[in-house]
Formats: sequence, C-alpha cells, structure tokens
Amino acid sequence: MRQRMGWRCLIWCGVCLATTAIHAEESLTKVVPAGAIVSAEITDAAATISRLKTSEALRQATSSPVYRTWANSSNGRKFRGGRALLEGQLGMNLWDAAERLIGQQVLVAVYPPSAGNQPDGVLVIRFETMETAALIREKLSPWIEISDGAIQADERDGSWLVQSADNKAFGALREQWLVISNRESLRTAVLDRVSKTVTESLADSPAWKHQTALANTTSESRLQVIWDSAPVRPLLGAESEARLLPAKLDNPLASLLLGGLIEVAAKAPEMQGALTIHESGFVASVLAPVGKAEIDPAHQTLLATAPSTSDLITPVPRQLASIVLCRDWADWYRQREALLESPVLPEFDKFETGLSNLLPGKDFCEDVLTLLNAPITLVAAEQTYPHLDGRPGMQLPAFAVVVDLTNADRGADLFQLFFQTLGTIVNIEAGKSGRQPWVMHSAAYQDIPITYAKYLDRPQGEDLPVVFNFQPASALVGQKYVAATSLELCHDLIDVLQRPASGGNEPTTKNFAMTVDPVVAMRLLQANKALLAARSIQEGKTSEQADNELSILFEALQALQPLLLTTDVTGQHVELRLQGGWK
Amino acid sequence: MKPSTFGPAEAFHLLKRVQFGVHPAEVDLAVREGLDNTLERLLSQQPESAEFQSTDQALRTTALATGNIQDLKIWWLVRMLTSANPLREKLALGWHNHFATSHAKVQSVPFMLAQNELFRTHAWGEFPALLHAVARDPAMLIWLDGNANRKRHPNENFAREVMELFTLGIGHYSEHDIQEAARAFSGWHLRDKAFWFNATQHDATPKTIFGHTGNYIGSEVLDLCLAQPACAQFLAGRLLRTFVTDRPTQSQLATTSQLITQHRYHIAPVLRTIFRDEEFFAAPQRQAMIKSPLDYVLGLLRPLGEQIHWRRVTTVLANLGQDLFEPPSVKGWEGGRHWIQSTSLILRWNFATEFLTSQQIAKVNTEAFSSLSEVADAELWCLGGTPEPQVHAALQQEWQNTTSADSSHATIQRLQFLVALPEYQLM
Repeated sequence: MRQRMGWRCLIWCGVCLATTAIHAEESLTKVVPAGAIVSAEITDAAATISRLKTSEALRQATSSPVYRTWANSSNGRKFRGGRALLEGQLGMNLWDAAERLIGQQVLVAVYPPSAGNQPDGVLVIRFETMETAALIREKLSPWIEISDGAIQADERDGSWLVQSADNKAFGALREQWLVISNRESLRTAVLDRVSKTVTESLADSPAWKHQTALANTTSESRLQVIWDSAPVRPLLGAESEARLLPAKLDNPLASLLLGGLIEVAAKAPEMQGALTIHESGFVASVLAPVGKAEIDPAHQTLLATAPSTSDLITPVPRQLASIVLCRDWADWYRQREALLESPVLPEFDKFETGLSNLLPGKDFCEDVLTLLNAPITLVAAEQTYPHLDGRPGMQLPAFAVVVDLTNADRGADLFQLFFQTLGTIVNIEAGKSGRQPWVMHSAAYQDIPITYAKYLDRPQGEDLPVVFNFQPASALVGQKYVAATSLELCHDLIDVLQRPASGGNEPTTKNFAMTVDPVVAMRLLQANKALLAARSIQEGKTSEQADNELSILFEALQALQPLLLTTDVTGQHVELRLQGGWK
Repeated sequence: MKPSTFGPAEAFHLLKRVQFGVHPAEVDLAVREGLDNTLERLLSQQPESAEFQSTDQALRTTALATGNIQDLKIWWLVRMLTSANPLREKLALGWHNHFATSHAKVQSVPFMLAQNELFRTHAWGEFPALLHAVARDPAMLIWLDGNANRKRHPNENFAREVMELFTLGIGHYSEHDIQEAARAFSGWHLRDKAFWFNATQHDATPKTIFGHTGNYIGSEVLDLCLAQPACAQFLAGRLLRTFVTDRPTQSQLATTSQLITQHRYHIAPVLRTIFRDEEFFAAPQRQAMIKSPLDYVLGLLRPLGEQIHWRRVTTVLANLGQDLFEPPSVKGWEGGRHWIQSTSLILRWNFATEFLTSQQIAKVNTEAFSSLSEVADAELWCLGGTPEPQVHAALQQEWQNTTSADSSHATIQRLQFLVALPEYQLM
C-alpha cells in the first residue's frame, strides 16, 4: 500500500512539474518513447515569460511595501546575492535565461521503473538556436573539470554526453536539444529519435492520439499533460483490478460536489490536462474520455445536466458569485449507501429525525427531494440596503437559492412552510436577545406574489448590527421557487427569471457552473475594510500594516476578470474547465 | 505632604498603580517631569496618536458590527495598553467593577460599549453625575431589571444595589429604605434602546427614605444617598482599594472620605491629593497590592510585547478570573487575595512562560530591559525596589548562572526567573 502511495505521489509530482515543447505537428512527444504514465509539455513559454517580465502586476508587486520589507530582510538579501551570482555566471539576467532555456519547447515524461522502485523520467528541451546549447556546454565544462570525477563528459555520435559517477543522472546536448534522464537507456532512446534513427514514439501511442483528438488542441496551447493509466495497472500486480481512487467518500458534501468527477477519474483509461495562457487570460481544462453511461448508476446521479440553457440563470445586478449544481437529487439520496462510507450514514438518520419535527409523517426523499429537478442555483450579490436608513457595520452579500420544481404548487407550499417556520424561530430568538422582530408581509412584484420579512421599525444609523443584512423573501416564478436573504435580491431574481433566456432553450451539457466576480468581491471587502483591518490588528499587526496589506489585495482583485469553473458531461466525455483573466 | 524625593522608584510605584504595566521610558519621563507635572499629565486629557485613533476606530466598528463581545474586550484591552490616557482607562475599569454589569445578561455590545464610554467620560469627573447617568444607562436597566419595576410590583434590585454596592455599603440603610427607594425607581424603564420614564408605572405616592418623606423620584433617591455621610466613606474605600491598598485602614478611609466631601465628589482633585501624599509612597504601601490579572498580563505586555495576539490574551484573562464585561456578580471582582489561588498562580506562571519563550501570544522585545544586566535594575523594574535579603541573594545567584553572550536570551531567562517570584505578583 505504501509503495502504491509512493507511486501516486511520484506521478502527481510528474504532473505538477510539467514543462515541455510542442505543436500538434512538432510535438516533443515524437522524440520520447511510448509507454509514459504522464507526459507534460509546454509550448512557447517565452511569450508568457516576456509578458510577465513587463507586466504591471509584477511592477506593483515588487514596489509594494510587503515586497520591499522582504527584500530588505536577511532572506531577501540572500536571494538577491544568489541571483547576482547566478546571473554573473550565466552572463544574462534570469528573465532572459528563462526565455532562452525553457522559452521554446519543454517536455517531461515519467515512465514505469525499469529497475528498482523509482520511476524513470526524462526532461527534453528544444532551444530556439544551437547557440544556447553551446552556451550551456561552455558554462558547464569548467565545473565538470573541477568536479574531480563526480561528473564525466564524453563526445559521441555528435552528442556531448555527461553522467554522474553514481549513474543516477544522465544528460546530453545535441544541436538545439537538451536531454536529462535518470536512466541511460532513456537518454539513448531520446537521442535515437532526435537523430531519426528510431521513429516510433509517445506521439504514436493510442492515449496521445485519442486525447489530442478530443482536446481539439490549438497552436495557442502552452501546457499539455497526458495521463495514461495503462502502464500503471500492471505495476499494481495482484491489485491490478484495484481502484486508484475510492468509490465512496466519508464527507457528504465532498461526495455531492466531487463524487462524480472522482468516479470518472477512477474509470478513465487516460486523461488530458491543458493550460492555455492568452494575453489577458487563461483556460485550464481536464478532460476524461468517459461517458456518463460508463459510470455505475449511483455515481450517475452526480453527473446530471441542466435540461436547457433556460435553466442557467443569467447574472443579477451586482452579482458576486453563482453556483449551478445539477444532480438527480432523489436518486442521489436513495443511493447514498453506495456513495458514502458507512460511518457517516447515521448522520442522515439524525437529520431525518430532526426534520420530522417540521414535516410530521413525511419522508425527506420521497416527499421533498422528488419535487426537485436537477439544477439548484445559488446566487450571492452585493446589497444596496434599500430596507435600511444606513448600513450594517459588517456588510454581507445577499444569498439566494433557486430550485426548479417538478410540481410547482406542491413544492411552493412545502418550501413556503420551511420559510415561515424559519421566520418564526428567528423571531423567537430575536425576542430573547432584544433584537428587532420581523413581520411577515406579502406584496406583488412584476405580478409575482412575494412573501418577505419586514422589520417592525425601519432600522436607522451607520454601523448597524450584522443581523440587518437580512430581510428574507421568497417567491414562486413559474416552476422556480426563489428564497433569498434580501428582498432586493429576490426582486432581481424575479426580473432575471421573467426575462426570456438569451441562449434560447437549447439543451446543455452543464453539470456544474460557478462564477465569481473579483471586482464585486473587492467592493465588498472595501466596504468591510475596517473590520478586516481590525482582524489583522487583533492578530498583532499595526493599523498601517493592515491597511497596506488590504490595499494590495484590493488592487489585485481590481485587476482580475470574472472566474468561471464548469463541468460538462456528454455521452463521450467529462470535462472540467476553469477560465479567468486579468485587465 | 509631598514626598521628599521623586526618583525612579517613586515614579515606578506611581505608574504601576495608575496604569496597566510600566515601560522604563515612562519612568524616565515621569522623573524628568517631576511628580506634579506627571500627575497633571495623567489627570488631564492627552491627545491620542493617529495610529491609536485609527486602531481604536477599526476595533470599535468591528465590535459593533459583529456584536461579538470578544471584539469589544479586545477594543478595550488595546486602549488600556496603548492609550495616551492610561489613568482614564484604569478608572474606567474601576467604575466597571464598581457598577459591575455583565454582558452575560445584557446581551448587547452597543449597550456595553455605551456604558463603558460613560465610565470613561466621567472617569475623574464628579461622582454624582456618573451615578445619575448609570441609573439611566440601558445596560444597567437591563442588568438590574428596570422594566420589571412597576408601581404595583416594585422590583428592588436596582434600589438595593444603589445603596449596598454603589453608594453606602451594608449597614447604612434599612430594608424599609430599599422598599421605599424601589417605589421611587418604579417606571424607570427602557424603551427603543433608551431610558424612558414610564409615568403610568411610576408610584407617585409619598415615600420615607433615611427618615425623610416626600414624593421622591429615582434621581432624588440618588441625591439622598449621596447626602449620607456613609457615601463618601464607601467611595473612599473603593478608591483606596483601586489605587492604594487592598486593606485600607480606618485612618486612610477617614482622610479620603473627608477629601471626597471637601471636593464634593469630584474625583480628580481627590486622586491628585492621594498621589501627592507622602503616605502613598511610604514603604508599607509599596508592593502592598496583589496584581489583578490585567495588571499582571498587561504589565508584561506593555514593556515587552509586540505584535500581540489579542484573542489569546482575552482567553488568558478569562482563565485568570478577570473577564472584561463579564464580572462574576453584581459585586464585581473581589480582588485582593482572591486574585491568587493555587490554580490561578500556576496559570500566571504558564502565561508568563509561554509569553517569554514562544511567539504564540506576542513577539518579545527585550530592548527596554537591556539594563537587566544589573541585579539592582531588575529589582527596581520588576519588584519595585530591593526585596528581602534571601530573594536578593537568589537573584544574584541566578544572574551569575545566566551570563550569556546572547544578551536577549539572558534577559529572557532572567525575566522568567523574576516573574516566577511570589514578589512579582505584588505591585
């Protein structure tokens, strides 16, 4: 078991360390042998390095008080000294060195071990020109001379070969190529392909061909990672049928959110990751060629999709974040024993017992969850507090949940019962602690009846208690039941839900979608700046330090574009995608 | 009569009593200024620094916004340690103890804050004004059940505490006085977060209190209490136990109560006279009070602490028995010998050790104690002067054992030894 864990770690490290060069037609996978468990390649990193070097963000970071403090510290001075030594040795600054050394094409591949337990690995770099290889040789030669035999160099078949005396590291420079491996045979295999004496390569393996076809790789790709489970399974011996990832989780929330993806990853024969960096943004994706039908029924409940684009709610004004979560809710609940470890199952029984006080004689799964269609939408938005003459001292976003009902009348009554019961409980607690009680009101907005809580007296003043962030409201809009912590957000959601969907009523493949707007987040944090500063002061910082740190955070958030995380499920594959950007 | 000298030892003694902890630089300043100027500075409002104001505002806003009493505790602790008006903070704590009100029942951070501001505003002002303000304070009205005091069912809680704990003390009033006073306070209610005289619930019939009869209302009862000779003596006891001694003598009580009467309950001149008196600096008064948890904890943090983790400090203080805004009863903290028990003494040592040897509570800066290389300095800064011969000998031995090239390390070792001494629990 320990050995297997070690393997997983090594493979993961291989994925994380990924760096290499490739275009679909010039991929460096053509110069490494087939059979890799993981291969990762980066193309045209020079553009990104150059952009980073001249970026405003880097300028701001290096001129920030935090960086200046660090730069003047003992560690900062050591770093600067080390950097100066290195740059002196290379004869260029580190940015230029990075551009020249890893700026074109870089590939790392990890293979099953040919001996012992350590996996074989190879790093291949193709420089833009042969001069870079010559420069490296020139800089390394004196060190080899004074290594007293610890490193040996040799000239053979047009390649300059180096290896450590303990035979643990092998390197080669040939024309514009650099090869480093922990196995001599692997180095030789790469050099054979570089010199075209051998043509079969990783690029010919089924996993590579399959994945590149699925991924629709374009010339903009910067990083591409391929994971192939075929070479790993024989290594597990008797455990070859064993799963690499667990089928059951011990955390219900983690199971609900990630259980489907984990199962897909466990079943996938191969997976591909890609990271594309543009001038003003990035797209990262992980794709598994496993269709929903290939997964067991219990996990299929976690891979439901929104029926149509009209189920994906368009953003409300001042939206901070939204989450659309699609699940077969009732089936998921029924099959929880197949999805969760047994120690957590009694918690569901406790939950149902507690719920029976609210819904005597009803079953949570059959009478509540069956009322829900797949998508549940959670929305968070900044508030303008029209219900207050003033502002709370701690300004929270308003939250809302939108559920799609199978039976609107029945579902609305049931959820309204929850809403009213909750309001009553909160009122009793408010009375105990001397807070203002709520009065439940009804009103129509855009011809939609709304039930909402109104404070007995209109709250007035600045720095009002945190409780005044809340003014719960609920409404039924068509088949959708809306429950919000503020009347304002409830109004906004009614506006959005009554508007015709911009994308029509097309079928979708969305299983999950989350958006976060950093600028709205920044505005909310700014509104709570005093509180955030106070938290830092309580932890021992001065108010000036706290203000400086917050200013850096605000600037960073201001410079970001909205973040989008999605999961798409089709009959052929499952894809997780993260998109973001900067200004 | 003024003391003949006001050197470092005297300055150290004065500052230990009027603020929470002493930084050596503050002793130097006091010696340079002299006793009168130091007292003038301590008893007049000093401008606060910009850093203090921004910190104070941020912490105050946070406490109100979150409604979390822990945040309010931190706000006050930071004031106690960093305000340019430390005596005002010490007096605010004194009045918090005198008019002990607990958030455990009030359950409102804004009310507790407002009451605290009241104590600060009237800190060294006229006691009658403070008493009248407290009687109408929302936190106090909740704490002593003002709204339950109705003319047909008078509630005696506030009337009893006014006489027993706020003005006269046991033995200077009768049960009948309390019953009659309760009727006078009937209808003193809380409405819309403010004091409200509910005329329909006020008993307007005649009452007889301390032998006087009239249609008294609550404020007149307070004036009747203030007019009792026992009131000045009771207040004298409170001031002496806060600043001078855990066990005031009859002579001290008589002298101070005379002062209070002479100054018509104006606290500033009374304190000025006490602190200028030779007796305040006399040997029997030095190291004569047991440090409260606040004096002990902030006493270490003031000269040595940087980047303080205040949440840890509030927990330590609660464990040591002085949980701000949550006194144990209407009597407040008993103080004196009650501060030290077998468990609390161990907790004090644990706190000091953790503070000095880890970075968990604060970063330790020993710069202010660089002069601890000399035993005599250590005795002055930490023990207020030369201790008993056997303690002095033990210190000398420890100093020889802790000679180190790393002066900061040696200072911390020596401080660990010093704060573990029973004498360090005194001030």
